[in-house]
Amino acid sequence: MKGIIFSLIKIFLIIFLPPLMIGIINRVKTTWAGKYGQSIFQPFYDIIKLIKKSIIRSTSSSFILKIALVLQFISTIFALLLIPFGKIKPFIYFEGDFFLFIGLLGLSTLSQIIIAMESAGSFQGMGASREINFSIFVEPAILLLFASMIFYTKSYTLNKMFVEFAFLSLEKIMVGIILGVSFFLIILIEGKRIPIDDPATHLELTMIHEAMILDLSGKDLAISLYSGYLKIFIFSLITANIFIPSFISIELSILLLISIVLFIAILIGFIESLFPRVRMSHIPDFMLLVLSLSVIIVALMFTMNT
Amino acid sequence: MIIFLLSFIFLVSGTFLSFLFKKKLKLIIYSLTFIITSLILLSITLVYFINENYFRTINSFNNILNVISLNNAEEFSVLANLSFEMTKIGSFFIFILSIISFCLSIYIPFYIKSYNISKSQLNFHLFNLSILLISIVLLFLTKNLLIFVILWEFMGFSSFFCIFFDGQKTKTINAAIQYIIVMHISFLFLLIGAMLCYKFTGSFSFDKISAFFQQQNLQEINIDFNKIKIVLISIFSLGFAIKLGIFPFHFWLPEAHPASPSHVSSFMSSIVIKTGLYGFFLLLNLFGLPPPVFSKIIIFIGLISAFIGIINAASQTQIKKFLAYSSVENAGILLFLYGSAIFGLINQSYFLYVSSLLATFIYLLNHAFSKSSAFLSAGLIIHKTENDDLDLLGGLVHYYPDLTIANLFSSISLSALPPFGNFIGELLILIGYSNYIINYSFSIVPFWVFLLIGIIGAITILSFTKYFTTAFLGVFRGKNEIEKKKNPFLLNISLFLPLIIALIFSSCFFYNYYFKIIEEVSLKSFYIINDFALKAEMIPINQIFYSFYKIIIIFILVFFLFFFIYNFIRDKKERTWSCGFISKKEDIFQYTSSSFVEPFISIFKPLTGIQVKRKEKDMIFPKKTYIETEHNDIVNKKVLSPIIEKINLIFDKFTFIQSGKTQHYILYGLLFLIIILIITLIRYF
Repeated sequence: MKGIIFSLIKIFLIIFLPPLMIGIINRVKTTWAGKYGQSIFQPFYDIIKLIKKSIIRSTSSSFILKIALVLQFISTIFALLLIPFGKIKPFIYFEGDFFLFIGLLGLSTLSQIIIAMESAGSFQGMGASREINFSIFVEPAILLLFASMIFYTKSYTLNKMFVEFAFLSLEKIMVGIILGVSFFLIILIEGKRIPIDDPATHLELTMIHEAMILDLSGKDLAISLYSGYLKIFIFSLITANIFIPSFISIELSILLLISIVLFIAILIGFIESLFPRVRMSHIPDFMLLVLSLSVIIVALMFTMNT
Repeated sequence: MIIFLLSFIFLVSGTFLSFLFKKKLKLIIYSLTFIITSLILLSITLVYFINENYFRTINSFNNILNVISLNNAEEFSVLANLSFEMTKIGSFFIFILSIISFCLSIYIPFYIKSYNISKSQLNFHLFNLSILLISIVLLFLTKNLLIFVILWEFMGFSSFFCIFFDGQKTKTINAAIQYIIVMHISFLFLLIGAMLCYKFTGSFSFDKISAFFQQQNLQEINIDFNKIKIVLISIFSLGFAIKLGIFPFHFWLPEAHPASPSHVSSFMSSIVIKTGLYGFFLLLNLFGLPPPVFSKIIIFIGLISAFIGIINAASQTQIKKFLAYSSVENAGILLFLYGSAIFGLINQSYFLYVSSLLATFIYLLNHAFSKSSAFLSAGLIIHKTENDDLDLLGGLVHYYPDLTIANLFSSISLSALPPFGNFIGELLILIGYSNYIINYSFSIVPFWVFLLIGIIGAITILSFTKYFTTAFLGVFRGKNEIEKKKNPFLLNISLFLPLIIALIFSSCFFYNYYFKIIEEVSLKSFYIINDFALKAEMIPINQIFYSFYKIIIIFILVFFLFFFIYNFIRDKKERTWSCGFISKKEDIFQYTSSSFVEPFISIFKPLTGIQVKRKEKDMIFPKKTYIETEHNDIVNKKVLSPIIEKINLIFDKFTFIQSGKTQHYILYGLLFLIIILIITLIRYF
C-alpha cells in the first residue's frame, strides 16, 4: 500500500514539478524586473494550449521527425525514472544504471538534433551545431562526478549512490559541496538557461535551444518543450538528492526534496535576472569549468587516499 | 577439417565456374557459391558452439601430414606440428565472418553491376575475394605460427588486390600501394617475431611455444627469459597494431577505404582489421600473462587512438573517410577493452577481467555488423548520388526511406547508444572499473578511463548526428538530379540483417556462449582451471543484464506504443520559416556538415589535420574569393612526409647511376662480378 502511494506521489511530481519550476523561474525574473508577472502555472496553460493546436510541419520533414520526437520524449522520461526521489526508490534500478542514464540522455540529444535538422533551415542547423558542440565536455564531467560518488558510496546503482552519500566527514562535506555546485551548473547547461543560452531572447543569431525548436508547432512543440523541462527537472533532482541526508525518514526526505527543487528554481531565477548571457565564444570555457570541477573532486580523492 | 576443405574447394570451383559466363550470370553464380560457403561456415560454428565434441580434434588433414613427416622426419620437422583446430575464440570470429560474407554475397551482384570494368578484371577481383575469405578462415583455425604468418601474407595480398578493383584512378593506386607497404611492415614484424620464437623455443607450434613459456614461468624468475618475452610481445604487438589501425599506424585506413569498393571496405573494417585483435589474443595464448606495464600501455594507446580517431571522424565530410576514422576509434576502444582485461587480471580483479573480456566480444560483434551495414549503405549512397561529400548530400530520406532507416539504426549503434552492443560494451567496462574503484582504489587508470570514455562518447554522438542529419535529412544539396527508387528486397536484407543479428547476439540471452569463450581464453592463456572466483563473477554480470534487458524491452514497447498513437495525428505541410526569406529552392540556407562541425574544429584544430586555404586578393572591393579545405592526416603530415622526403633526398644522389646508356649498365655488371671475385679471394686466403 505504501509503495503504491509513493509511486503515485512520484508520478504526480513528474507531471507537475517540471513546468512549475519553469513558472517559478519566470515569476522570479519578472519580480526582479519590478513587474507583476505571469502566473506560476503559465507553462501548464502553454502546454495545454499547444496540445489543443494542430500540427504544421516543414515540407522538408519526413517520418523521421515523428520517430525523433517520440524517442526524445521517451528517453528523457526513462532517464528520469532512474533517479530516486529522496529516499523513495526509483521506478527502475539495477547495478550500473548510471551509464544507462547517460546513454538515454545521449539518445535524447541525438533525437533533438534530428528534430532540428529535419526542418532544413539555417537557424535550426545553427542551434543544433551549437547544442551538440558545446555539450562535449558535459558528458565526461557527469561521468567523473558519478565515479567519485561510486568511490564514496561503494555502490554503482544510482539509487544507492544518492541515498548513501552523506555529509559525515570534512572530506565528504567538501566533495558534496563541489558535487552540488557542479550538478547545479549542469542544470544551467543542459536546461540551456542563462549564462549559456537565453530562452527569452528574440534574436535568432544568439539562440541555441530556442533556435532548434523554431519550426515546431502544436503537439510537436509541446512534446519538445516538455522534454526540455524534464531535463532541467532531472538534474535538479540529482542536485537535491545529494543534499538530502541518509538518516531522515522517507516522508521528510520527499518534503525536503520538493523544497530543494523549488529553491533551485528560485536560484535559477535569481541568476537569470542578475547575470547576462555569456558571449558565444566563451561558452566552451564555461563547459570546461564544470569539467575542471569534476577533475578537482578526483584530485581531492587522490590526496585524501594517499 | 574435411568440411572446411570441401567448402573451400566448392568456393574456388564455383569462382572458376563463374568465369565462364557473362557478367550478369557470372555474378549470380558467384554470389550463390559465396552464400552456400558462408552458410556452411555458419552451420559449422553453430554446431561447434552447441556441442564442441564434434570438432575436438580435426585429424584427417593432420594424419596425412604426419605420415609425410614420419617418412622424412628431418625434412618435414617444421611441418610435423602443422595442424588446424577449432577454438571457441576462432569460431566466434568465423561466425562473424560467415554472416558478413552472407550479406556481402547478396550485395555484390547489385553493386558491381554498376561498375564498368573489363571481364578479366572482374574475374581477378572475384578470385581474390575468395582467396581472402579462405585465408582468413584458415588464419582463425591454424595452430602453427609459420602457417599463421604465411596466411597473414596471403590475406594482405588478396585484400590489396581487392582494393585495387577500380585501378584506373591515381588515388586508388596510391592508396593501394600505401596499403601493401604498410601491410608488409606488419608482416615483417610478424616474421621476425616468428623466427625469434623458433630460435628460442625450437618450434612453431602454438602448443609447444606456450608450454615452453609456461615452464619458464614456473621456474625461478629468469631475467634473460623475461627480456625475451618482452621483446617478443612488443614485436608481435607492433605487427598486430598496424593491422588493427591503432593511432600512430592508422593512416592507411582513411586512404584505403575511400579507394576500395564498398563491399571490400565493409569486409575490411568488419573482419580483416579484427584479425589484429585475434592476434592480440593469440599473444596471450602464446606467452601467458604479459608484464604489468604492458597492460597500462595498451590501455592508454587504445584510448588515445580512439580519441584521435573520433576527432578526425567528427571533422571529416567525406563519407568513407568518416567511417574509416570511426573504425579507428572503435579499434582503439577494442584494444583498450583487451588491455583492461589484462589490467584486471594483473590486479586480481576478476570482475574487471570478466566484464572487459565480455565487453570486448560484444563490442567486436556489434561493431563488425553495424560498420558492415554502414559501409554497404554508404556505397549505395555514393553510387546513386555520384557524390561522396556530405556537404553536397542531404534529404535522402525523401528518395530512399529504407536506406535512411538502416542508417538511423547503424548510427545509433555506432555512436554507442542503447540498446545496441557498443553501448553494452561501454556499460560493461564502466561497471568493471566501478567495481575496481570500490574494491581497490581510485588510481590513475580508472580516472583516465572515465574521462576519456565520456569525451569519446560525446564526440561520437556529434560525429554520427552530423553524418546522419546532413546526409539524410533536410533537402538535397547537390546539383545533379537523383531518382526516387526503392531498394530491391534482397538488397535490404544485406543492410538490415547485420543490424538485427547484432541486436540479437549482443543481448543477455547469449551471454553463456560468451562466457564459454572467456573460460577458454582464461584456461589456455592463464591456466585458470575451474576457478570459482571466475565463475562467481559471471553470475552478477548476467543478472545485471537480465534486468537491463527488461528495461530495454519495456522501453522499446513504450516507444512503439507512443509512435503508433503519434503517427495517427494529422499534420499540414508548410515551408520552413527562414526569417522572411523566400526562394524557390529550399536548400539555400541549409546548414552543411562542415558548418555543423565548425565550432568543434575550432577547438580541436591541431589534431584534425584540416587546413583551410583562402585565396583572397588584396583589393578594396574584392570580387571573388576561394576557400579550399584540405585534409591531411597528422601522422602523414608530421611524421611520414618528412621521412619520405629525406629518403628521397638520399636516393636523389644516386640518380646518376641510372644514366640510360647500355654500356654503363654492362659496366655495373662487370664491377659487381669483380667485387664478388675480390671478396671470395679474400675469404679464401
